[in-house]
Amino acid sequence: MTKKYTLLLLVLWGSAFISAQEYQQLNIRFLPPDYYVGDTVELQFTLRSSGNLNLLPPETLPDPGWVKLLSFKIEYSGSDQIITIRFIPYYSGTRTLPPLALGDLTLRDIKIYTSSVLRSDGERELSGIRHNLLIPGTRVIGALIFSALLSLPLLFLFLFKIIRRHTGVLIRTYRLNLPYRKFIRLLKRIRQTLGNMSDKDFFSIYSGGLKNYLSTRFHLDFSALTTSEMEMVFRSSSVAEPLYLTLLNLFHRMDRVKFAGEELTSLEREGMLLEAEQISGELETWRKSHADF
Amino acid sequence: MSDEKVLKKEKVLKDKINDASRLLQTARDEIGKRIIGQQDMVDGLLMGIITGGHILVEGVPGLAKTLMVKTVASVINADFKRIQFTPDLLPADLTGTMIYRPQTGEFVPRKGPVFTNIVLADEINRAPAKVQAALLEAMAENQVTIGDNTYRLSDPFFVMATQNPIEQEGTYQLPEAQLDRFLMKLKVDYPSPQEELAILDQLEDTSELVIRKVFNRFAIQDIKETAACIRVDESLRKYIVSIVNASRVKGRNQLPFTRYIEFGASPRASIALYNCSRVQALFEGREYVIPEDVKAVAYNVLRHRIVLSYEAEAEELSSDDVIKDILAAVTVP
Repeated sequence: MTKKYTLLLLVLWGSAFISAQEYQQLNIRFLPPDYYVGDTVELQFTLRSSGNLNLLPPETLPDPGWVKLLSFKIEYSGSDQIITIRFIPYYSGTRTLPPLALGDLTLRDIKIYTSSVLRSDGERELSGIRHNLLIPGTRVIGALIFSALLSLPLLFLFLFKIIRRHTGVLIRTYRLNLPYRKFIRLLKRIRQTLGNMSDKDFFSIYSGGLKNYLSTRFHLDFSALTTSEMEMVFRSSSVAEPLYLTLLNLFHRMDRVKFAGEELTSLEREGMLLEAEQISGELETWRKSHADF
Repeated sequence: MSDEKVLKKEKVLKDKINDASRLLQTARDEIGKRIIGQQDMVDGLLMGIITGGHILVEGVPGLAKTLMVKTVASVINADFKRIQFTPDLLPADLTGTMIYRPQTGEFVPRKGPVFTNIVLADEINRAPAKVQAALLEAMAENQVTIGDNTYRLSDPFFVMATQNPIEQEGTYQLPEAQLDRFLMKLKVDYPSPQEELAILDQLEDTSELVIRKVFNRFAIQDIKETAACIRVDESLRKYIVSIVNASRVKGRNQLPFTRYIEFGASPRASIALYNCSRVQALFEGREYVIPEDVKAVAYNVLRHRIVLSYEAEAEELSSDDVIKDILAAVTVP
């Protein structure tokens, strides 16, 4: 009897010894190292056994309720096997995975520790919400979108500046040429009503218009200038001599008609209109090619 | 009037103007023999004589004012007297008085120095107001009353009064109303260095200067009549009135220069501008006045007629500055 018990004990001890010596778990790694309830966790370890084990992944993964086993993978690396288990824990604290039958071997006592956002002593405060995990390249796309959004106003500003500059140039050119256009329009209007206009009206409108035009070109009020004063202005300007002499001649003729009572035929008046048109045209050409008037 | 008659009349006028202009130029040349420079004063004096106005000259001593008047008197073949105004001068010293003649036992008039063609009233502001008033009355009326009788002054009668701009101590400033009686106020400045050198060169020449008499009373009368024929267009008459009116504009913000004027020019200024512009045209040998003529005489005519405000004095502006602004503001026809 004693021998029977002794034998049984030996067998039991031997089998226990065999199962204990069957394998070793090495390089146990959790990814992520700290994980919480609901996180997808990858557990990897190397299984080293003394014998030649034929391991097969379990056909069905157990479902103990507190953890969801997602996948089980066995890879061979020499005499070692690398086991990878993916799971999602639903309970915090240390728990043991249910035994996993792998053919020649049953994996037991695999302990996982699921961290809790609450401190166990109750003093731990709630952790902040973790950032969403971004897939690789997400940050670059985000940065690009952010840059695009940031550069959009700058682009608008740049375009606005260009448009404003060009509009400014256009307006300036328009305004600069406006007196000349107005004067030419005035000459046309005088020409249309030349027959019905008295000498006095003709010279009043004609010389007034010409003086207004010259005022804008020389930046001086010509309406209060006499012909001699105009001559001084012309001489001190950089306007070509033949041009201002023609202008002066025109004003002297006007003075004779206005103050000496000389009379002009409508043909002569027409000639004066043409002359004014020609001189102002030449003056404009001169102005465009000379910055200083 | 037929066209031919009009043309003939115009030709006659043109000839008269040419003659008058030539004569005036000769007079200027003759005066220029003795007076170096001071062309404005020469023209001003001739203008005064032709228009029948009187001239106030402002300038420091030593600018040949007396010599100028003497020379002008020589050129126009007229009598000349110089009166030095002093604080103790009496109106009778100027106009004359009734003196008792014991032989006949009656009072007879003794005519004063104003009974001449050209009077140089030297430093007029040194005499008291009553003496100034007596002279200015004679200038305005061309006559003087001594005792019960009124005597006409000589023709031409021309007064050139001088004022010294410095040494204002103990002087009697001419009232604005009396200043207005002067046709023009001329400002005489120092000659240029070249002119001063020419004066010294003239001293080197020991030969006696002979000033030819260019005018006589009749010639002056002819020139006056010719000047009166010079055409002043309606637009220019309006221009003259506009200038004078601009000096009277009320409302401080209406025109930029308004705040500098306390009192503007009187209608006498318009008349003076009108007459002087005509003579200016005559100087140029033109039978019509142009705006240049008006502007040329505007300063001399308006200078003493515009009373400046304290603001102008505070900003050290002269009448000439204000006149310049006025002319720049009025549209030239």
